[in-house]
Amino acid sequence: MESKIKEKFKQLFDEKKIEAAVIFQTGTIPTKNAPNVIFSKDDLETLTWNPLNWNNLANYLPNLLGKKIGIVAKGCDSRSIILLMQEEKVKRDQVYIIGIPCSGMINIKKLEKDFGEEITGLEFNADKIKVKGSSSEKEYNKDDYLFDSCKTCKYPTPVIYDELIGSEIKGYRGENYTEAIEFEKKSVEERRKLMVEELSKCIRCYACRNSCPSCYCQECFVDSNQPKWLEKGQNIDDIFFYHIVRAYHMVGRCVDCGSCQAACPMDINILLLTKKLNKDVRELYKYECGLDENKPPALSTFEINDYNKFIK
Amino acid sequence: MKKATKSDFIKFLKDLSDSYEVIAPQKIADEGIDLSPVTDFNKITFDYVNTERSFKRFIFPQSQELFKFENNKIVAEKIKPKKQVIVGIRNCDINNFKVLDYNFIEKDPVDSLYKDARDNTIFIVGACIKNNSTCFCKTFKINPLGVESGDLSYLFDDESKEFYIKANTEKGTELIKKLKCKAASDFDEKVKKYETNHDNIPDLIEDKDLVEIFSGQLDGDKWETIFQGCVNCGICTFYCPTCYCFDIEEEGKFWKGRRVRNWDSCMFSIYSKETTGHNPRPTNRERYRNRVLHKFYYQLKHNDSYGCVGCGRCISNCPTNIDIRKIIKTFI
Repeated sequence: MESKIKEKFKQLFDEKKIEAAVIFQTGTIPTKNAPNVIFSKDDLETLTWNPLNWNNLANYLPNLLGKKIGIVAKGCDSRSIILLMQEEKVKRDQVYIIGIPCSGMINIKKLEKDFGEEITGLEFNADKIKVKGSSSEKEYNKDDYLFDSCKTCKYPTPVIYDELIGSEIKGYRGENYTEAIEFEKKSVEERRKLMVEELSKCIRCYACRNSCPSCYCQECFVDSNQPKWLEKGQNIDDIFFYHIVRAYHMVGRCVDCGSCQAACPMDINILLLTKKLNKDVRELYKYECGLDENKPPALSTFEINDYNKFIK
Repeated sequence: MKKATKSDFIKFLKDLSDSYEVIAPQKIADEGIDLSPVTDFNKITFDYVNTERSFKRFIFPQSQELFKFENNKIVAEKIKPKKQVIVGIRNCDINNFKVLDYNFIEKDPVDSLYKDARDNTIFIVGACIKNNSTCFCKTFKINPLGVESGDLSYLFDDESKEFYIKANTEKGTELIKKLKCKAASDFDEKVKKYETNHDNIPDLIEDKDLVEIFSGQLDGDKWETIFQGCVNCGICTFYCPTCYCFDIEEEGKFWKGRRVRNWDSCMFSIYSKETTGHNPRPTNRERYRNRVLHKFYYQLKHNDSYGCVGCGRCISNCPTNIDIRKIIKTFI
């Protein structure tokens, strides 16, 4: 698979069809791959494709506005590209999308914790992961270590692409919204308690925001000081404010790629909020984000029979 | 120099908890092993290479109140510094004082909050007997065994399952008297035994002069590629034991509120944004360049110490695998 992607990109660079390529390169440590933007075909040498590629590569597109770009896309990446097209951050003829059907990405932090020591080598087979450490070696089932968002992924095969490498995977590995349904059942106090528990871990590094392709504002509301919307300290109310406003900005714009949660160094369950909102959008507006570039996002449009019970 | 069993050592810490808050490495549900105030002394663990986060936040908290104000007056509340003991610090982390002290104490005006916290803390350094592949402390001439650092230092001998403990300062000498156990005459031998465990830690800089190397490359082509993957989150700066940038803000209303200082990160766009709206570091490229140069050029030039101790946290926590070692190698 890797050689096919490399070949295609080489050809695109040679034919001057692209000026830059957004790819994954082999990381400097065995547990990480490096998402990167490259401008020369020489950098394709270290291109890699394995279950460590959890970053959503569409995240790099808004910064490359105006350039011709080649990009490798998993199902979720392709949906984000569609969202960016809908919001005019990317033009269709500006990107060459190499679609890759994705069998799910590995939650490497969870694996590392279960393994107990530093991972010095990883080998991926069809459904097994072989993990090497300095003193032991173990084999794990890949399915046990998929990210939660991958376990419930509905669109593992890219929705939009110029070329598909690999065979199509028919998706939907499980019920998507169990956690959100549990959350709905809770009382307001219980919800708050749960959220405080999760969010009190937050160190406000904003890795969730910065790893998200839908978060591309020139100036984020947390960075604004004229006016100042919230304080920057460790007060739980401010942390709450940040996460809730971020989630509300995601309504109908979240493709559920899970990169916010994967990027979080404190393992906060950030997807809890966005999943609930995704469920609401699906039920109230019959809309799923990132499927059709010709249809505007749910909250950017109004139809006469739209849900409007909240207006009294 | 003394040697103690684990239960002796834990008892020693428990006794200290009468007059100090004891902060020690413990297994924290989702986060792995990290420093945290001890409530249950059985939960203390010494089975780790390094703690998830450095001890920096106990000396220089992420968010710290300076004073409160009300109706145009400062409601002065002299905040009493907490007496605390931090156990299990690694030598790389405690070498952050070369950077922090220079900025907070050695130059006028002295930062009293920082100084008070530092003076009221006892540092107990644990020698590394293992290391991670991301460790590169030897680059900065830091010895991973480091039994000369901190008020007290210990080495856990895997074979005899004993802690070899040594006092390095006056405070430490006073404290070690309270530790009831045998004297350790074979201390140096034990330390020597573990030296070879760390032969794999690289020295990336050797005796090259980074000031000279970087002064020719403060800008240029090499900077065009290294930052591309970076998404400008604050993980590397918040996990870094030496990053000390902060931002002072007023919280509350005009007539009533408080002044706080919060950690800031040079990775954020607001960090360098000026009142006019102009930002001299508008993109990732400038911000990342500043971070690297601050660590390996500016501080070296002015303070004669690196802004990095080689703990490797920025490498293992970076969501996009930006590797500071790779960047040093790019320029050398």
